[in-house]
Amino acid sequence: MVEMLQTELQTFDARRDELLGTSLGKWVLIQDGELIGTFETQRDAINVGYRQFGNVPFLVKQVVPVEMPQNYVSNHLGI
Amino acid sequence: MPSFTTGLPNLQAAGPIVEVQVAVPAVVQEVLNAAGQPLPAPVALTAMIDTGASGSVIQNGIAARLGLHPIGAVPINTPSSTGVMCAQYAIRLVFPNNVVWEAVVIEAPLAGQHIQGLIGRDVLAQAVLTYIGYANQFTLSF
Repeated sequence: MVEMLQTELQTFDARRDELLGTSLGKWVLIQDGELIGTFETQRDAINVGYRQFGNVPFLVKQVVPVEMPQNYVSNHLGI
Repeated sequence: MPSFTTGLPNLQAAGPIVEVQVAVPAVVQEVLNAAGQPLPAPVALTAMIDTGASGSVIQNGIAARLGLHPIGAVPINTPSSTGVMCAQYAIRLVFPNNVVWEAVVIEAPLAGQHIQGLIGRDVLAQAVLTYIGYANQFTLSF
């Protein structure tokens, strides 16, 4: 289902350098290719996304120089 | 301190598994109520508390059953893959004793196993896990 966020991820990548200069460590909310705002917490960005757009796909992502992957050391995931 | 204790016949064999309800988060409940739309029924699943998982996971398809759409995407590493992008969903976890926790989880395949979810270190970061192996029980407190 990550395919549903391709437009938002492209917008994030295109604006990453700018955001690193202005919003390092903050959380951005992007919907349908538009940067809606920056927030102090992930929860704040999610709440604004749902309240502004309803139950639709949107992207909340932290502005960091290098994104650290989540790690799963057991074989539970079929990935 | 909200908590629950689970006892199992063989904790070593089964692992620290717990029956949880997965529901839409409070903000989605608020949005659906305001729009006069019905709330999706929570989905019951068996989840394992996994200290080897940096984040929590739900089985593929559960978010769709709750009518939820992705709100994020993160890369993950597993023993066999690196940098696989996975969709994230905001959910509400309801543990035994009505212990409620709001989380952002990834959706991933867990097919062929006795669990449909992982409770990872994102949840454990705010909790105390007491694992009493010789008594075949564990307690999670928040």
